[in-house]
Amino acid sequence: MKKYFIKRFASTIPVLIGVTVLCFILMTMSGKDPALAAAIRSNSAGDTILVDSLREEMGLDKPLPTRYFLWLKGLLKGDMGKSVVTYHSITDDIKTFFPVTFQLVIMAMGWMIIIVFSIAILCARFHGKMFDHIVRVLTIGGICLPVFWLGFMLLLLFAVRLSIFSVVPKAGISGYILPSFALAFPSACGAIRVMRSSLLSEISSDYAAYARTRGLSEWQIIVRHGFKNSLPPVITLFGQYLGYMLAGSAVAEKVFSLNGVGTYLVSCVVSGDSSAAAACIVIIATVFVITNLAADVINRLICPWMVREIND
Amino acid sequence: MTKKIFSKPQAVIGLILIMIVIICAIFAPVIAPNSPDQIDPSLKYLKADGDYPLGTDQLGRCELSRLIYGARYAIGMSIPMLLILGILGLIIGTFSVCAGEKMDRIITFICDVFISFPSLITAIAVISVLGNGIQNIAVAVVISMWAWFARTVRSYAATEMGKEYITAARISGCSTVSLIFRHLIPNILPQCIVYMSTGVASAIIMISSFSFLGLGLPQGTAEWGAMMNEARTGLYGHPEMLVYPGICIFVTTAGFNLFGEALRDALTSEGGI
Repeated sequence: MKKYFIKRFASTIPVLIGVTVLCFILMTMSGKDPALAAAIRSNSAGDTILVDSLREEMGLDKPLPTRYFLWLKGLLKGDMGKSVVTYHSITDDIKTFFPVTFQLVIMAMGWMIIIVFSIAILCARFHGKMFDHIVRVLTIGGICLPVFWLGFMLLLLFAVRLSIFSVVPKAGISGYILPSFALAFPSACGAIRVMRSSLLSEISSDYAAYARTRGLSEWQIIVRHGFKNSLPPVITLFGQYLGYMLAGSAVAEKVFSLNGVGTYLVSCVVSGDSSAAAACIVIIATVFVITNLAADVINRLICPWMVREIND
Repeated sequence: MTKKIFSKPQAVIGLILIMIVIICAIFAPVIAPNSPDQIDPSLKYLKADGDYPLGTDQLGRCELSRLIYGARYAIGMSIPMLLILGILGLIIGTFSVCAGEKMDRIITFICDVFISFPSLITAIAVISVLGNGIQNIAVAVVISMWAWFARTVRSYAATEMGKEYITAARISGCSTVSLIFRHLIPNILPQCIVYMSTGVASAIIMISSFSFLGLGLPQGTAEWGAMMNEARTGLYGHPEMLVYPGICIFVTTAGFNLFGEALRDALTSEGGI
């Protein structure tokens, strides 16, 4: 067990290095010269001596590998430099925007867990009945829903027609209920299908048949035995969806006029602010790697025997 | 096989939806009642009538015509992209399996790095480097999704490589290249096509997400996501402008998902996967 964890942790390190290298390449390739941008801001773009001295000051005259290590060092220390466009500290910007996205994604994850677990268990219990068929049709449809359209439909229904929520988000949790639901629903539909089939294969296995002969009810079999054993593929999926929702938050934030990392990232891309965009991308990719790692570790802890079959 | 697929209502419904969208895309100039880009402020937000079956938008453009032309972006971009992705995936995936352990490790590692970015983020990053434009969106989507295809094809190919007919071909002196093209690819192709057909739906959603975010396509393009972006301001007054494009995206993606899934079911029951 211990050996597996060490191996799994170690395997993320080269991936994370690869991620930072890729982001750095993207940042340098985007072609905007930070020194020139700074000079333009102080209305002295024509002053080549100034631009050169700025370049030296920012460390842009150094060879690319050196610049990469300097950038990485800053990143690890939490200093991501200054934005080329707004000249704000990127770290400060991200500190203001990240909590919004974080709250959004955590709430979406909450929705996801509630919806997926309850509906999948009901589907497994009433397999082949009306409820199961209705859910099957609804989930096929749900996967195809674009997050932004679902968001607008929710706004139309709950904010414009019924005025339960406001169109402009309120502070506090109530402002996140609709956006997080819109973000979670299409992914949840995919996860319901995975969990349903995983549960069904569990309750048709030998140990479930044995439990049935021992006189346990279907509910007991599903909740006590099947549920836990059906979790690994679902948790792996949740780990991935967390990353997707972090990326998809750009869309949900735009629909619900929230100011989060997604909106910030898109505005950076539109204004050509490559250093800030690269910082956002590194953070999102790192979170994605960590959630995938966490999903593997959780799987290993709750169902050691199953994961061994898959990995070893 | 074909008979089996079409005996399922799910496959037929999916195929009908796909055909409707493709016909709209090809014959858009014939079907559309008006020009999709003709701006006439005096006609803005007209009610639905004979000339404008779904009314007009905030610039007086015919909504129905714009929706029909929008199919051209959805189909015209996603299908070529998926073809490129499929070919790339087949080449890289099979090469990875056949090129020896060292090469296999390197390719798997590169795939792992690309997969550790959520695909929307990779695509946004690529757009930030390349700038806006239809080709750039295509490149962005391909760069963000190729690793998934390569890895999936690799896993199909790896299972196939363990089978006896491959060993037999090897023993009888088959070269690696002809092994890939004559034995490996024909045998994994059905599974790859299924994987591609479900990929179309996610490509369509990704393209429209982009244009909804204002990335990629020029302003005023008759693309479904871009239309929703423009209709945002009419949330109170003209919500129907937000409803229609979404229905179009939904119908198209549902068509591909339904069909792809029926295809997969048919293949699984034949013992293909």
